[in-house]
Amino acid sequence: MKNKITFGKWEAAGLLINAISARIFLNFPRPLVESSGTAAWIQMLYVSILALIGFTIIIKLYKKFEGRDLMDISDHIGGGILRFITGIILLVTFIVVCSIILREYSENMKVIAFNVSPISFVMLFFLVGMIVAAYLGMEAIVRLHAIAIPIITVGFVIIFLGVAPFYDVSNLYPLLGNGPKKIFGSGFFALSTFSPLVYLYLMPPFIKTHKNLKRAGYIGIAFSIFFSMASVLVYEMVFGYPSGTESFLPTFELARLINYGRFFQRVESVFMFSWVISAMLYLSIILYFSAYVLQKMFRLKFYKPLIFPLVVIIFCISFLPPNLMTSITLETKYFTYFLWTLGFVIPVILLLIGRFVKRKPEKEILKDE
Amino acid sequence: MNRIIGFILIIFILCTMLSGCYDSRDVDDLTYVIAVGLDKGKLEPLRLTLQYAVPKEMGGGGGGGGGEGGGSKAISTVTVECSSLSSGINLVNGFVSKQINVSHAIVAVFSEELAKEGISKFLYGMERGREFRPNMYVAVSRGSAEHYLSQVQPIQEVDPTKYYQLIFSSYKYTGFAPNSKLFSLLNKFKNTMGQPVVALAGVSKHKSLDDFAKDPDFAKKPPTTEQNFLPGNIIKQGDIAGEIMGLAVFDGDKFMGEMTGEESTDYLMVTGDYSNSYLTMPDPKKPDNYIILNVKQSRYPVSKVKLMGNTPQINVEIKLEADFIAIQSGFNYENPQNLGLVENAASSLIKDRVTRFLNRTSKEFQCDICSFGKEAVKKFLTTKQWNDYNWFGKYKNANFNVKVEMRIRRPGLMIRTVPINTSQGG
Repeated sequence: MKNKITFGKWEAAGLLINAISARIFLNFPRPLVESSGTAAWIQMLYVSILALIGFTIIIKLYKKFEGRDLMDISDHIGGGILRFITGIILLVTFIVVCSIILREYSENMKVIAFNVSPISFVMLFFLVGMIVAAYLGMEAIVRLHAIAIPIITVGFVIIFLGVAPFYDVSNLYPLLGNGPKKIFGSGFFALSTFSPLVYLYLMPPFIKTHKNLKRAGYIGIAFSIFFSMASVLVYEMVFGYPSGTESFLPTFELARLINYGRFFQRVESVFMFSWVISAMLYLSIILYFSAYVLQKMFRLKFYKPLIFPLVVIIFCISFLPPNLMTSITLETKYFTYFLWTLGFVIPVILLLIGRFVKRKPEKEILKDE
Repeated sequence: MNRIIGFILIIFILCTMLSGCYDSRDVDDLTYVIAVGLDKGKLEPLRLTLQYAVPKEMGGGGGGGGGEGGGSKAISTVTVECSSLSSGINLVNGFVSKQINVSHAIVAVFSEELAKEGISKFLYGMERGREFRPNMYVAVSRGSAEHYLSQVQPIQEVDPTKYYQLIFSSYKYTGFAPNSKLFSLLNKFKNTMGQPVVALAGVSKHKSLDDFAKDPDFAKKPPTTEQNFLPGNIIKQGDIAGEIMGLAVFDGDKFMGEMTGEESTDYLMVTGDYSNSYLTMPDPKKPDNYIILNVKQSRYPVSKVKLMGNTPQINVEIKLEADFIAIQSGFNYENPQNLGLVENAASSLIKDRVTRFLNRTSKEFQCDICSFGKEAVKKFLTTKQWNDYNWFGKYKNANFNVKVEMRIRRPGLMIRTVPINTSQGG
């Protein structure tokens, strides 16, 4: 049975933009400043170019698999076993990432606004949003992205233009910061910023045509590069190095600086609004795709019954890190080393093998909602 | 029907959960601190003064009368000795009926005595806490911060926070103090390209002009311009005893010394933060008289740094323009042929002043408060190379070459001065 839900390149691009750029509202770009110092923007440029090259290669390889996602391709290559292996890799990663991101968003919320509320109470609001979004399905999520992205962008632009009086270009010097070794060596792992590209490779059954997949990818990456670069440059020009390594929530700290007269100040409330929308959507994407992958792994007829158990698992795992600092360390120091493989290595391997494997296409494994 | 029930249920849940959550705080249950004073304690490490608003005394400022907000009644102060800023606030919470909230604090004042020992331990608390705003002003007071805050009397403002906001931003039209915000102070503490300065505050040394006249320190002093003062030394009397004038120079987080209001103007001209202010200069033709100019920065100043071994050569180019405000001698300087005399004299005066100021920062304080390091750093490729050069260590050897270009643009409302005729014949 063919998937009846379809959406265009703009919706898919919107999802991709939010998935990649949502971390701007978390720690980003502090890890880049920690790694490359004043040259964080060069590191960002470098990984952006790598991401574009990587995506170009992947999308060329994808031509043969129009309308099929990574799970279908795994199934095509190695049958149920490879589909299961791919599924388990994706599922575990999604669940762990979702748990950590949920914990971070909730903890951040607690630090900046609800510092008396219990963390579980703050998490509850995110969880309810995630459950509702996942129940309503892919179409609701992507359509909401199409509406929310312009609103988030406006909030983002207000913050970045609002701190313009604090820009100081000399904060970008010395030009090579902590040195080429850090920028181009260990800096490579910042490619993980683009790991959410994996969601795009799960969307072909919804996007249908290869042309739309390609366009959605390029649009999504281009906008994400723009937002990420703007974020790095603005943050560096305002805070400089080494002060830029201190901020726990860089974009929030930027928003706190905005002060035009007695009226236009304390605009972090704008930031909070954009931030919560972006967070809710991002977490909904991960939850939905976790259920989607699980459904495909076992060729289940429905995915909705999986949502609640997944949420319980995510909620429990999110409490495993003993504190916020551990969550941040897990995300920025450990996940970074392998998350990039999700967006680039696994798809390339599957697509390359898939080019040479000639098997009769199996039965459609995707079921409708 | 189910949809309507669902909708009502959602609205009900949202209303109950969002309006009465754990963090709800009624505005009426909070005490809003507007200024924080930090002194060295006698019994405990810190003497903390909190100046807070008294809302019931502030009402009635707008609309149909009610007049002013009651001046000093609109604010109240409390001082405690404690171990840290947060513990002090907690202590005050113990005896002030409403919970202390510093999210509207607009200024933090440190005493010189405390600042000499380093203020980072207090600023870190402000930086980490979400209530203190990065845009709040920071000042160092000559004498105790407690005394300075107790002498502040916002007579003209209904809202006492407005008093601080206006007085600390008056540098834009006086040039007497720097723009000293918490954010830039914290940033400069940690960076390697410039050292911080904050505004210098003080309380009038004497209450009446007669007392100033009797003070031998003031009686011996030659006449000076309005800028060449430190806070507390302005010869004045009246209701307002608090003064903001000059720079408090820091090396890292330690207070190194003070500079006058005139040097503050020089600082603003070199860093590009200068907007406009009056310049009182001796008349080139009749030195007993003054010419008063309203000076503006016409172009952003250009600084160039050449590194010659251990000796940085720093070139500064300042471009100013001015309007005549007063020519006491009545000499016809408005005539384009005479204009050059004033322009050259003013340029030369400011050049000497700025050079003297820069040499003081370099040789006396050894602090790059004008952030010339931002130019020097461009000569290095990596942070390691820059750190190895040790800019702050080299700044004391710096040589300065200052170029000032002053252009007078407008004569005010008079195009020429006609001589006054007297019975003695002009």
